[in-house]
Amino acid sequence: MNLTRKTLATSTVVTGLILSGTAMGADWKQPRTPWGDPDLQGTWPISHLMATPLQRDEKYGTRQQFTAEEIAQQKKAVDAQNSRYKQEDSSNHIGIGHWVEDTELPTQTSLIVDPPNGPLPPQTPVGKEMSSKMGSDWNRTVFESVADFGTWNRCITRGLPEGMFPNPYNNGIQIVQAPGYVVINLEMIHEARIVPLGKLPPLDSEVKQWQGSSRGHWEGNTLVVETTNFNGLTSMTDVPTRGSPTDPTASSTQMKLVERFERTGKDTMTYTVTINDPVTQTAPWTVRMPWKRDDNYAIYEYACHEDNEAVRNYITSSRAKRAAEAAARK
Amino acid sequence: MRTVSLCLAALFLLCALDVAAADVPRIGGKPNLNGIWQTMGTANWNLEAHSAQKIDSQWQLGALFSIPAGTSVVVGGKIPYKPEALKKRDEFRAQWPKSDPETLCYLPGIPRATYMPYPFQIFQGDRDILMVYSYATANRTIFMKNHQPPPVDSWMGRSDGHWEGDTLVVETTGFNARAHLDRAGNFFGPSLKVVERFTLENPNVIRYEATLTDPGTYTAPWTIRMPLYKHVEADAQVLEYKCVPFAEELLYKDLERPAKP
Repeated sequence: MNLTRKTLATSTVVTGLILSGTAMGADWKQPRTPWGDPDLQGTWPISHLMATPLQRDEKYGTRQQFTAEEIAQQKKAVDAQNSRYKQEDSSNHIGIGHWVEDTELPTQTSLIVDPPNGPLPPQTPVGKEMSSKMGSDWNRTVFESVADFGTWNRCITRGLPEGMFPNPYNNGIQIVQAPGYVVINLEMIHEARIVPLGKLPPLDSEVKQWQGSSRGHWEGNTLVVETTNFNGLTSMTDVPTRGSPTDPTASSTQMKLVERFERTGKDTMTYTVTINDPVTQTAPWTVRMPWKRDDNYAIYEYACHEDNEAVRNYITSSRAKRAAEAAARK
Repeated sequence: MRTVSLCLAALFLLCALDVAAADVPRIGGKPNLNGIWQTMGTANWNLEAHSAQKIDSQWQLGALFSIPAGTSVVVGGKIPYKPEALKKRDEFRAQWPKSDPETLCYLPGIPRATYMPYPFQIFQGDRDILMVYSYATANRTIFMKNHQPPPVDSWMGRSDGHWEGDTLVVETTGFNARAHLDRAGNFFGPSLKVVERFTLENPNVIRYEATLTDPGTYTAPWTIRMPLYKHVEADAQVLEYKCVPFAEELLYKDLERPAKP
């Protein structure tokens, strides 16, 4: 609750910052840390992208930006979502409005920019088979064990690249730098992605991790992060990111991510990620997002697992429902 | 030379420490704490002195999982519990491992995060300091500016830091008091305040100290002390210890049903 309140309170401040950032764009020069690296530090929450779909509606073809008219048409829906919090306060009835955070009007027709018309690439037969066996609470009503849930519901991880995509809440991303390192600290489920720069050799391929293993380097002022060593147990997508498929998108241990963090102004950054998994998908795909800095955004401890009642409650209520249905049939 | 002669004139030990601190690597004028650190010892088993012993409930694991002996890391040896709190500690101990949040992969809290048997990494640039722990992918920001009361209670609390000379001093409050201090049932209450002191003794050792004040649980503030050792392997890196999947069977065992024929 505090979270949504805070977001509301800072949203006007953020808009002001963005405008001044744009105005000063011509004079802006990439700052450097005292030890000489391009300075990307700050809090870069991606709540403003919640209304931008992952995949593009076919009708927009290869066009990446909405027209002014198309943006205006979405104002009503976004305003309605943003006003739910206040409505619930005034009606003294708390629900989803206190859960889903504020967002902004989308400008991109999709987060995916490649393939050029914005869909996820087709899965390989192996990818389809793997996806069909993954747990998810979005495509089933029968729950029997933890295996029937996605890794986010189990409070393990949102996985990658999904963990870098907008979500209805707790979208905080903090970048912290120290000599030889960049850390991408994700608010959801307190996951700090440590990116060593330079000389550390790749992690032995025998070691698999939920978030993989990252190595970074600078190309000019752009941070390039390559991530491998995934355990192949996470979905690349999840339904809470708008425009995602209902079914999980399997990843394999061969998945490789290449991310690019390019600061474009005082409070703006372009984030790009290319996902390549030849085992599960027939082609690589690329997501691009405009990030906005908001150092007033406070990252909260997202202690997910510690009070996770979802798994137990889904299983017991699913069983109770089926028992009641069976009794009614008799 | 002047420092050395002053040392001879004054308290030798104190000056020797000052000399050591002056020699350590620095960043932004402060001792450089960047690195991957870990304690050695048995503090996570029991902060107080304890004998080696078998864990009766874990008999299947034999010598693999029994308690190693250790001396106390508590200054003065014993935690000054109030009588009713000591009784509660003994109950937690009797109910271990069920009573320990670590068993279920819950967030470790402070100061326990520091002496979990896994490494953690300190990121010290020119702003707030970040500590990232292998265990449960926990982390915490040490706010070096904008100190303020904790907005909500949490497992890890809110940490505000400042430098006192060459020592990083971190004050943490705002605990939900659900974490424990070790596997021996030692615990704290919601009024806990932890003041940690990180002093770089040489490039590879931090002298770590934490003072715990909680009038609801203890009769007086008390302090733990232990060195943190730097991982100096060429390929040192913090690997994930995402333990939620390791705790799921324990959490949901009662929900298991035999598969239908």
